[in-house]
Amino acid sequence: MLRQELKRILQSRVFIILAALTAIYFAYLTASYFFSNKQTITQYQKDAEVTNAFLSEVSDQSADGANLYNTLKEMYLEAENELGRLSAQGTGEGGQMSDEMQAEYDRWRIAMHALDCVGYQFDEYPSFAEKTIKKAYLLSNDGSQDEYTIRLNKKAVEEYNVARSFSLIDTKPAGIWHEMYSARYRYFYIFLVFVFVILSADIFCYEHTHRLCGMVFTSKNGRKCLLFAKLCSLWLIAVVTIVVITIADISVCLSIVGRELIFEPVQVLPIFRRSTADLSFLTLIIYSGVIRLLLLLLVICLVAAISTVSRNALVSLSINAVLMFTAFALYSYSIGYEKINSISGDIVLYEKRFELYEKLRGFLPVCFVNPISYVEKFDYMNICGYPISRLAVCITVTILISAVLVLTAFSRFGKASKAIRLKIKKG
Amino acid sequence: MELKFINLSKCYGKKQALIDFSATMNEGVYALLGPNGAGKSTLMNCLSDLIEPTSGKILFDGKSIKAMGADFRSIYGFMPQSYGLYPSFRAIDTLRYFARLKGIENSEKKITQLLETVNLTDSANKRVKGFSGGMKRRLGIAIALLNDPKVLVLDEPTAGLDPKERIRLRNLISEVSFDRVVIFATHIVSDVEAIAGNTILLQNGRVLKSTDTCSLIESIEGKVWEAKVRNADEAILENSFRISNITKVSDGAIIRIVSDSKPYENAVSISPSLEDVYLYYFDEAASKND
Amino acid sequence: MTRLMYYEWYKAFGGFKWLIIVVILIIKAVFTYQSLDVSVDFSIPIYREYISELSEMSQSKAEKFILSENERINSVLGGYTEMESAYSSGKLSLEEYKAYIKIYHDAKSKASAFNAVYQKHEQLSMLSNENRIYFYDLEWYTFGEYMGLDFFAIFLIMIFTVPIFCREHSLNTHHLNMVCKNGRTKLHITKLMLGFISGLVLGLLAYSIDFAIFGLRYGFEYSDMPIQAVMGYSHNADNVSVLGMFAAMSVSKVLWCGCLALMICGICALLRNNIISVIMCAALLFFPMQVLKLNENSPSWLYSISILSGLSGSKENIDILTPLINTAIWIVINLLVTATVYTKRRE
Repeated sequence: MLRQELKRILQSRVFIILAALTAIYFAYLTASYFFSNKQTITQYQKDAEVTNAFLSEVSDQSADGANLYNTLKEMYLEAENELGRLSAQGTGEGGQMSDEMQAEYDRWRIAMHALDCVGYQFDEYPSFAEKTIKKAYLLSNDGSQDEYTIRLNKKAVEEYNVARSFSLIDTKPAGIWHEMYSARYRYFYIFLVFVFVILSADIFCYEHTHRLCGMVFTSKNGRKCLLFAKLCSLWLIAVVTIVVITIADISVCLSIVGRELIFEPVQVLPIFRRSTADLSFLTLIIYSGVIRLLLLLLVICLVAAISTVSRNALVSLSINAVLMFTAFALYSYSIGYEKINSISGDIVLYEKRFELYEKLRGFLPVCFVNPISYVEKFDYMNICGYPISRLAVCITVTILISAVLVLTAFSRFGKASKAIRLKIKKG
Repeated sequence: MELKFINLSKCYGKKQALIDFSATMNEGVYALLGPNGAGKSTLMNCLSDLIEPTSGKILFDGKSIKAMGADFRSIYGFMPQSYGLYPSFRAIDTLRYFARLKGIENSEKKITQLLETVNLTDSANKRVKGFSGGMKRRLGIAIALLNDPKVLVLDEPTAGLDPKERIRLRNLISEVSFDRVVIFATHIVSDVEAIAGNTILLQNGRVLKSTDTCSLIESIEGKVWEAKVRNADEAILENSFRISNITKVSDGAIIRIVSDSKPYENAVSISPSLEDVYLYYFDEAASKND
Repeated sequence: MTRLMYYEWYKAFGGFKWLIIVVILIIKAVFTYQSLDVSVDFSIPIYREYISELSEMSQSKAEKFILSENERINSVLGGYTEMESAYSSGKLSLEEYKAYIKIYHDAKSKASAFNAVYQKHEQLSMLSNENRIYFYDLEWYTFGEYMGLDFFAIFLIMIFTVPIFCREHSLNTHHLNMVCKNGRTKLHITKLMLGFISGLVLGLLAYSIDFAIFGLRYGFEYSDMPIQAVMGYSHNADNVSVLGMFAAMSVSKVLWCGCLALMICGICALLRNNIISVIMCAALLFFPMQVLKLNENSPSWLYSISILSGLSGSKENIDILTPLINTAIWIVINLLVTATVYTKRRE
């Protein structure tokens, strides 16, 4: 049954058109970002090679991180002073830098890069972790000593004290990869959600659209078995889609950041400074894929439930599209960032919108369109006095909603519409 | 009035649905008879200008129907085999809508008359989504008759109707055929026998026979037999001849056979019917034995 | 044709559909304007405070206040490094340093909002004396922002226009229609007209409801001020009031809605399938928008044909001509489609 249904779906016009559009869009997006940033990527990669070579040369001379940091800082300041001295002497012919100045400039640039890497690993990251623990403490009920606060503080200390081993390499290419990766999610995955809404609405209402109800629903496997086959087929398509996209993302990541960086902890990026997630860039991509897959599975269940009630593809599509629009609108409306407002000297730490955003991320599965937001900081919710990770809460909510929707779909699929039931009753 | 088909052909890719169909039709009832895939619906769709014939033409009173365009459609009525209606419209709204589409002004009287003719007066103000299959069929016929067409084409008009309604419709078709060309396709041979003045037999896109119904029936005079057979011989006869009817009796069966020669020792020749004609021309398996 | 139009309208919008549309639009407008939150990069309460203070001052006093406040904030923020070294070297006591830090944080939190006020001051100085009034303009600014990419209007137009053409095939009534005298070209043109009018009416409803809800919530105060007095519109060359600007923008957008409806009609007449038509319409709307976001130098005619630029928020000058031209283009395209559907393409 599953095979037949899958075959029928793959051969349907709607699927072929949607698949073609998705493929074109994904290819365009990837190529556009990749090729428009090619020069920058190449430049970063070249710089990284030189910086990494420089770092390994210098690190041989130092015993530990702190010494290495001081050594590099001295080198950087020396180069800066020398550059200043040479600039004061004037530039070469036609305003170009002299060879000596160029060499000093290169040395200064490489030293700055190296200092950035080392400084982050041995100075910024540890101190930021400490600040974040304090902030986590502050977040919870203004520092009052209830049980939740104590548990949260303990958790923060535990998580942040996990030792992270960073390789001593230039991480600039990782930054540009992440920018590309994040920019893509904003539109592509929202688009993917609507693609699955349209496809699912067509599949679940197929029998009604093509007037096959009489023949299909009266056959042995024409109800629950058929619905199960439809659900599994669509879930399978969702899995394959996410796997393909994830593989593509990994390939792009590899080509930009290289094999060394792909296994580095994500904490090398500033956006992940406050993160306690034990993820590398590779596992980040896989994790994002899995979370987005959950979202697609939920969308399929939602469309199944609504389609089995509405029995009309266009009506189902409309209702689901409105629900998705509303959810995304709510999510975009509430995205905020910390603002410090001062009203006549008083300081207010958070805006209301930011609080709404945090709540939505716990209970609105469409927020899975940006799964990185769940791991980029220490992120817990107070559930009955226990700090539960926001991601875990949202996954639980997603699974529960999906289960309810699937049960609704199974109870309604194959039943006659009200008009027909009334007609039969009248005789 | 003359409707003329000249070497009409239609191919769907490699499949030839209609091959060199030629016929001249004047006022009266013409029945198209043939198995599934014979080309009946293709012919009707060509006449309705819904599909483009591969070759050939159709003339009405000497003018090409394609050239006539909307003018032909104003005197044309068609009821397809399968069609839909607007579920949210009432029956009367549906007729009013189609009256507008057919360019009929002041159609209320006509609509009331038609509703009475097809026996839908009581359901005039009910929504179509609550109609049974037969009621939808009757509404379809009313739509086809709205513009008082000179050429009326009906595809399976009596399908889904109860016997009383079928007789009513047959009588209606007979009445209206006086001054128009009525073409209908059906598998219900008794309908053809009852009202069709002319019958066209189609098979695999070709015309097998095109003549008046009486002559068609007479053409197999002496080829229809009735015999009482033993139980043991029944199966043998079924495999060897075209059997049009079997009636079981206490010591065997009375079988009606269509055959060029006497099929059984005690078989007697009886008057043929149109059903026998259908079997004679279309039952391919048994025809090998003739 | 009027009668035929009535039946076509009844098929598309009969029953409670109009009510549903109106309810959806009202809910959307109420939700949007519930708490008018703008995506600006400064503190709104501080901005509001400044504006309300300035609105009570005379022009000269306001000018003096702005200049002095600007100087104060700059000097406080600029002095941070100096104060820090003074404290490190012992020239400043801890109490003095703490006092400075408090002033510093206050100035820092106000800096970005004051910057917006300062820009407003420069904006207003280009206007005539009687129009140099400080008023809280973020509501109008946000109204302009929200008038942009209106997905609900686009979505509603798509959902209600697609069935105008595709319903006949989904219900299998197209055979019955096509054999009628007026069942081809005339019916098609009636549907096109209905589609266009529906697009206009839906657009008009959407923007009218927006205006109404906005007005009920915030009122139309200062709507007679020149548009250049509103943040973000200082470069606008039209000699028009705030209300006039948004009214004209609405007219332009209503025309774009009609144009969108015509585009959808053309696609549906060719594809004749509900779901596939929705996909293609959505793709034609969405992809050019993406191309525009990724490559701002792409030719704009691409987007005007797909009418997105017409439905995007614009702080540039009022443009009624482009939607009219595009409507004319889509009418021509639809007439070509009509000819194609009934002469070349048959079942």
